Amino acid sequence: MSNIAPPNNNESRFNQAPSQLLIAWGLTKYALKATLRNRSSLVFSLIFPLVFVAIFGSIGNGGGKISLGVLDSLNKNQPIYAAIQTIASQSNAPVKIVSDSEANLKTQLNQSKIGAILEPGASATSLKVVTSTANPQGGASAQTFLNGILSQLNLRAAGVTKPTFTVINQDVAGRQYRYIDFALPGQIGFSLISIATFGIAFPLITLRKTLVLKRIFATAAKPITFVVSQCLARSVQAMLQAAVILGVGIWGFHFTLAHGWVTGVELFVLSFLAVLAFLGFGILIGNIARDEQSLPIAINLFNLPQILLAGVFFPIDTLPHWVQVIGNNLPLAYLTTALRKVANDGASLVTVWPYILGIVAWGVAAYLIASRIFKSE
Amino acid sequence: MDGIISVKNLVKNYDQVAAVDDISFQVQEGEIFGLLGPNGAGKTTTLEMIETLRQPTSGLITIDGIDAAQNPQEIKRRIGIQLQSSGFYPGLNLVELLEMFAIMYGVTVDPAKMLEEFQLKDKAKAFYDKMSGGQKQRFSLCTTLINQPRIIFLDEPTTGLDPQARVNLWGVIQEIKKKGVTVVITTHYMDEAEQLCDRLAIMDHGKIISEGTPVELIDQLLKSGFQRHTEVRAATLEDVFLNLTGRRIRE
Repeated sequence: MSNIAPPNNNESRFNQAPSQLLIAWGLTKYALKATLRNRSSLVFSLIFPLVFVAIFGSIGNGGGKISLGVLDSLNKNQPIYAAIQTIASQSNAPVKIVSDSEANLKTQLNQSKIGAILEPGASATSLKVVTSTANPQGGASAQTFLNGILSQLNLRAAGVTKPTFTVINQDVAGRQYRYIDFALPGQIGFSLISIATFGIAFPLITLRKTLVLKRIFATAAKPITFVVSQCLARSVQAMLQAAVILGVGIWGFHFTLAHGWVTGVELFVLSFLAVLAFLGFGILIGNIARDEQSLPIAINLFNLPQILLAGVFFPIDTLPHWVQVIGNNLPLAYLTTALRKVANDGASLVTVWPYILGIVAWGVAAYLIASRIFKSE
Repeated sequence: MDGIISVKNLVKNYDQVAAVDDISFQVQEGEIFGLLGPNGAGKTTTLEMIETLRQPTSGLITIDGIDAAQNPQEIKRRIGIQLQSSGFYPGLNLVELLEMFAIMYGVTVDPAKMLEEFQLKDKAKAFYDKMSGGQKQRFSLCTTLINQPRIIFLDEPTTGLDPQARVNLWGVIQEIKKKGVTVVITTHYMDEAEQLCDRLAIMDHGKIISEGTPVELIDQLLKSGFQRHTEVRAATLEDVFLNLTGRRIRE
C-alpha cells in the first residue's frame, strides 16, 4: 500500500497547514463539476422562468389593435365599410376585422375580444355601431377610429380638399416599452432567488444528514472555506441561468438593452451580488429548518412574499401604499428595480447605488446570522 | 510512557448526563486498539472528541505529543477518520472524491493506484451511492489514508457487511497496520475484536470497565470461575458458512 506512511517517517509533512484559499478553489471546482453533471436539475430549474418569459414575451405582440366585428350579412360594398377594409388590408394596420354571425359577435363583444360590432344602418350610407359596457376602452377606441374615417368621408363628399382646421401630428421617436421589458428582469430575479435558496439549503441539509459535512470538517478544510466554495459554485450556476434567460429574451422576444453589451455586463454584476445575498439566506434557512420536510415551507416563507410583492409579475406601485413600503425594501425588489433601471432606462451601476447598498445590507445580515447558527451535524 | 494517543480524565456531559464519564487510556504506536461496548456506551463520543470533532467537557487528550484542545488543526492533519455510516459528496465519482479529499488535506494523490490497493480499480468512475456495502466501506477506508496519517479511526467499519466482505476488510485493516499506522476501531462484534485487536477497552455507561489484550480479558474471566454453557467445538458456524460459500467477496 503505497499511500501508507512508512514508520519513523519525516514529520515535516504534517507541519505545513494547507492554504484555505487553494482548498476553496479546489472545492468550488468539484462542487461545480457535480452540479453541472446533474443535467435534469439544471434544465428543470430553467423551465419556469423560461415559460414565464415566453408567455410575457408574447403579450403585447398583436395587442393594441382595434377589433371590429362585422355581421356576415353586411353589404361589403357599403362605403364606410369599404374605407375600413382598405385600411385593415394594409400591413401593420391599426384595425382588425372579425366577420361572424350576430350571436357569435355579441358573445365576443361581451368578452371584450372585439371593441364594437358594425351593423347595417338606417340608410345605405350609414352604419350602426354597437358597443358594450363590458369593454368601454375597446368601444371608445373603435368609436374614435370610426369618427376619423367618417370625417374624411364627409369632407370628401363635401368636396373639401383643403380643410380649414388641421392638426399636425408629430411622433417623437422613442423606445417602445413593452411588457417583456418589465417581465424579463423580474424573471431573472425569480430564477436567481430560487436557485440560491433551494440550491443551497437542500444540499446543506442532505450533507449534514449523511455526515458528509462532518467528514469534510474532519479534514484541514475549515467550515467557512467549504461554505464559500458551495456559494461560488451555485452562483456560477445562477449566472448561467440568468444568461440563458437574458439570451432567450433578447433573441426570442426582442428584449432590449439600453447600452448594448455594457448594459449586459452591468446586469450580470447586479445579478451576482444579489445571488450572493440570496445564498446567505439559503444557508440561514438550511440551518433553521430541521429536515427536508419543513425546508420547502421555510424557503417559500422567504421566497413567495418576495415573488408577489417585489415586482416580479406586476409593478410594486400597483400595490396598496403600506404594502409598497414593504415591497420596495425586500432584497428581491432592490434587484428587480435596479435591473430595470439599468436595462430599460440605461442607468449605470453608479446611479443605482442605493439598490446595490440595499442588496449588500440584506446579504451581510444574512451571512452574519447564518454564521452564528451554522450547524455541522 | 505516554502512547501515541493519551486520554486522561476525559468527560463529556450532555445536559447533566455524562455520555463519557472520566475515562483514561493509552494507545501505543502501531497497534490496533479496540473500543468495545453496547450502543450508547460512549464509544463514538469518545472517538469524536479524540478526532477534535467534539469539544470535551473536561480532560486532556494528547495525540502524537500534541494537545488536541490547543491544536485541533494539527491533529486533523495527522489522523484519518471513518465515520459511522457516513456518505460522500453527491454527484462525484470515486476518483473525483479522492481528488477532492486530497485538496482538502493539501496533498496530492494517485487515485487510480489507491483504488487498486483497495480492490476498487474497476469502480473508478462509479458513484458511491451505487456501490455494495463492502465496496463502500473499502472506499471509506481508502479515504482515511489520503493524508498519509499516523493514526486512523474506524467507527464500526464492518456493521452490515456479509461475512465475506467482513473477512476481506479485516485483511485490509491488517495490511494498513503492517505499514506502521496505528488503528483505533469500535465494533459490536466480539469475534472481530478478538481477530483484529492487539488491545481493547470495554466501555459501558460512559466508563471503561475493562482493558487489556483479548487473551488477558478472556483469562481474567476464566479465573473468576466462568464456564461456557455449551461445549466448545473446533469450528464456528461462521467457519461453516465461509467454507460453504467461499471467501471470495461478492458484490
